Parts: sequence; structure tokens; C-alpha cells
Amino acid sequence: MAYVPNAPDEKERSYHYSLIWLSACGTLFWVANIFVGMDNMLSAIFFGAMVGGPAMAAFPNRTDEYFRSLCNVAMRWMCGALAIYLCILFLVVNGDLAHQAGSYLASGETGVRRSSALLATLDSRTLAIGLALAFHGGYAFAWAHDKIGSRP
Amino acid sequence: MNNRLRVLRAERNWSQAELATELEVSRQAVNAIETGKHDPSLGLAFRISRLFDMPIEQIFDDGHEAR
Repeated sequence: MAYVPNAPDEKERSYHYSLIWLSACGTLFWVANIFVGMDNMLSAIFFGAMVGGPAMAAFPNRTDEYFRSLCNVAMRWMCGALAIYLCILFLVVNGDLAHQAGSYLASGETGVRRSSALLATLDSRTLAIGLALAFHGGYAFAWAHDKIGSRP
Repeated sequence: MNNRLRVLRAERNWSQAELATELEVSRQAVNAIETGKHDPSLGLAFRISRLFDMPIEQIFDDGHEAR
């Protein structure tokens, strides 16, 4: 077999399977932190840990195909969460628009404004944490599905 | 998909980690293939076939008869 410099060995490939759980811990910490509201060095470090999972899914060249298949499930969950959120925004924003148009047609008033969309708009940090949670939830689901369903 | 990977590995007294090293994947990937939880890509199936010096059909069985 040809020598490939810096090629990952079995240990390094297996290491990714552990590393993603550290990323999941970072995400869970931040989900809890939304309610607790800690603002210290620990929270900053956990934000760094949270990067791991999505980064490994985005740049998978040193991982193996089984890890990528688990990450595919994780990314589907993340996309699903984003789609649901965007769908909610679509409905709410259109509701606001319809309200304004309805007021204009009914009474001719142009100044009527309703901004329910603001209620459904998350700040970027909460949205990022929510998407990371969906990602790690999807990974955990795929991992548990394989573990529980494995034949002896 | 059913496969004979575990049997073939046991015949050679290889651990999952040793087989994983030969196939350039992780031990977890070998375990997932052996338990039928993950179907290998065509490239990996060929590597397995070459490693055991057997045709792919003799290692993997998709449950369909050849015509």
C-alpha cells in the first residue's frame, strides 16, 4: 500500500466519535445557560466545544464513512429544525402583511402595523444553540438507534 | 444487508481494530458493518473484497437472487 503522509490512523478515526460527545456537552451546557445565564470563562470555553460537531460534519476528510453517515442524520435534523423555524416565520410574517392589507381594504387606513414576527424572531445566539442542539440530537438519535438495534 | 464480515474476521483471528486499520476506517465502522447497521460504500466494499480475496457477492448478501 502506498505511503500517504499524515494519513489518519484507526485511533484518530475513532477519536472523532468521542470528540463529538464533547461538542454535545458544550451544546447542552449552553441550552442550560440560556435559563441560568452564567457569564464566565466556562461558558466561553463551552462555546468553543460546541463548534466541534458541526465542524467535523462540514470538513469530514479525516473521518470515515460511518461517522459521515451519522453526521448525515444530524444534518438532516438540523435542516429540519431550520425548516420548521423558517416555516413559522413565513406564516407569522404573512399574517402581519395580511393584517395590514386587510386594514387598508376595510377602512383605507395605511398606518396600521402589526409586528408579531418580532415575537418569533430569535437572536442569533439562541438560533445557533437551537440548531446545534438539533444537530447533536440527530447524531445521538442515529447513534442510539444503531446501538440499541445492534445484533449481539 | 447481511454479510459474512464477522465470520471472515474471526477465521483470521483479527480484532475489529486490526481489520479497521487494514480497511482504513474506524473500529466503530467495522462494528456497524458487521452488525448490518451500515452498508459500506462501493469503494469500501471493494477494499473488503480485495482484503479477503473473495468476490463481493460472497461477502455481502442483499437478499436478491442473481438472474
